[in-house]
Amino acid sequence: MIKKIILTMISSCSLVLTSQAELLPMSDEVLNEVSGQSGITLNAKVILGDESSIVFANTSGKKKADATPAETGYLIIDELQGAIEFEGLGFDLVSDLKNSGKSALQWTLPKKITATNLKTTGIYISSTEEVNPTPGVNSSTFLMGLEMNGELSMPANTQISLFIVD
Amino acid sequence: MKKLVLHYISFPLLLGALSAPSFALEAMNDNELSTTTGEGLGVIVDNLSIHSADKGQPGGFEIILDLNETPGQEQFIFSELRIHKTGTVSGSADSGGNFGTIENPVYIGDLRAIDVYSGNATDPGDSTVSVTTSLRAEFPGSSLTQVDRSTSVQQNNPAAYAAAAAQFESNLSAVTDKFTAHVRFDDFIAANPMGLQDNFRAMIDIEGLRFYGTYTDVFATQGKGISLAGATGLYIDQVTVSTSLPTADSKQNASNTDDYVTTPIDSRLIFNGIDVYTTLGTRNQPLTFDNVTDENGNNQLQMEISPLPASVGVAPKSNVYVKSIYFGEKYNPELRTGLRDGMADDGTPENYHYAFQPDVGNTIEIKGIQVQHLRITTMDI
Repeated sequence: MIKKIILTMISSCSLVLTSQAELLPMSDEVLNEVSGQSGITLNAKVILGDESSIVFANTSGKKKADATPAETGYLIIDELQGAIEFEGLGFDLVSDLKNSGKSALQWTLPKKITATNLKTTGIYISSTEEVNPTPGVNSSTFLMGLEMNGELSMPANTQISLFIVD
Repeated sequence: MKKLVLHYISFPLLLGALSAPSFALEAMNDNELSTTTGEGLGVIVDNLSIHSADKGQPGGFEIILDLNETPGQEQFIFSELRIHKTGTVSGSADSGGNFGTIENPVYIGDLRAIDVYSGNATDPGDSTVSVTTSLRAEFPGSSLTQVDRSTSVQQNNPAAYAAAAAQFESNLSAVTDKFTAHVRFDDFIAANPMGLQDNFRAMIDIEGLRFYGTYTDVFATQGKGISLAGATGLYIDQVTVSTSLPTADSKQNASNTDDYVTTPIDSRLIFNGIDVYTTLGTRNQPLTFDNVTDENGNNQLQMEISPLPASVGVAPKSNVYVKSIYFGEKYNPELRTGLRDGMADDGTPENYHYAFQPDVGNTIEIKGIQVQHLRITTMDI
């Protein structure tokens, strides 16, 4: 069962990334910074087009096909856009995590994360899958907009280790 | 339009709070349950440290909440986000703290069958439950329970209380470091006169932050969809709310006294010895999220903790303790309430009692909070 969850996780991650991201070609200078001695170390910049959005469907505990319109609602993170850039994101496989005998997937978090106008124009609660701005029945309700700008640094070589526990 | 529609379990997104309303969990049948192995995913974080520069400086970072559908009209701005190990300097290479151990990690993914109340909540004789599948997530120290820090306990048996508090401290220290956090709040109101649009509101500094007793069960309930049952425990040495920005003098003063907080002392409200344990939903009263339509036909987001079933009778209790409060400096002459026994009335700060600083016990105790029914609905128009 746990393998199914991991597979679901990996495939979902892939789906998310491919659905929202436009990867930019890296320059030779940036590529030269990629280190392959231990695991994978990446610099990456992801630019989101303003047509990207995420829709969460709440079908009141039923399969979508079985849920009536009254039982179906949507939380829409609309028009995701902007850019996010990572410097020094590392992936590695560890065979004996802290002498525990456990294997682990280890992320070394980037030394710096830069967000440039990374935002959603609105988070909406809606009875329709797409934002309906027209006032009246079935109009989507604006909850808030969200924007991030600037640099977050992680100066202490932050590592996250993921492993299986009984 | 590129669109990602999520209907079923998408595990990585569960890790982000934004994903919570997306899942439609369904009960597993016997065959499916028989294949579960009790395994889960453990996560430990080593050297956790996040730093951003002061607002307006190079390297600064901001999160802006737009409260108006027209961008840039009414904004709430968070900046200067910092988290690091208590006792270290934010942004330094040795500022990382550890969260979780191999034996007690952040734990995600254990699937288990649980009984969820599904009867008539108003009927004392109805204790009907339904079996559903739950996904468990825990923070390190999730098995730790809150120490009874009530003043009466501390007064009645100081030795037993000291032993219990020390044991709790030892157990918690074994699974997580203490963390210091800092954040600044501003707002922007475009309708204000020019020059009064940007407003600094507060800085918050948290020292010695740790979680305990924190877990979440995620499952589905009939008619509500995704449902949560969980609890959060926070044990914090000190929280400082400052209403003035740091000045050159206040920074120098902080440096001289080795004070982490750099704001003028007179602008500070300081809470010491905070222990908060709160439940947010149980299997009998799950926390649910739903969209509802108001009387004007507008869609609104509704968060609800279901009514307490009469057959259950008693909801889990939440408790809040705050040992003391400083208004500005610790020894504020304005807050002297009396002279300590045998001490000289000569102005020596330590010779006096101060308001909101009890020698034993707490200045704030909120005990036994039970949620009978909670419903929060957005009112955006």
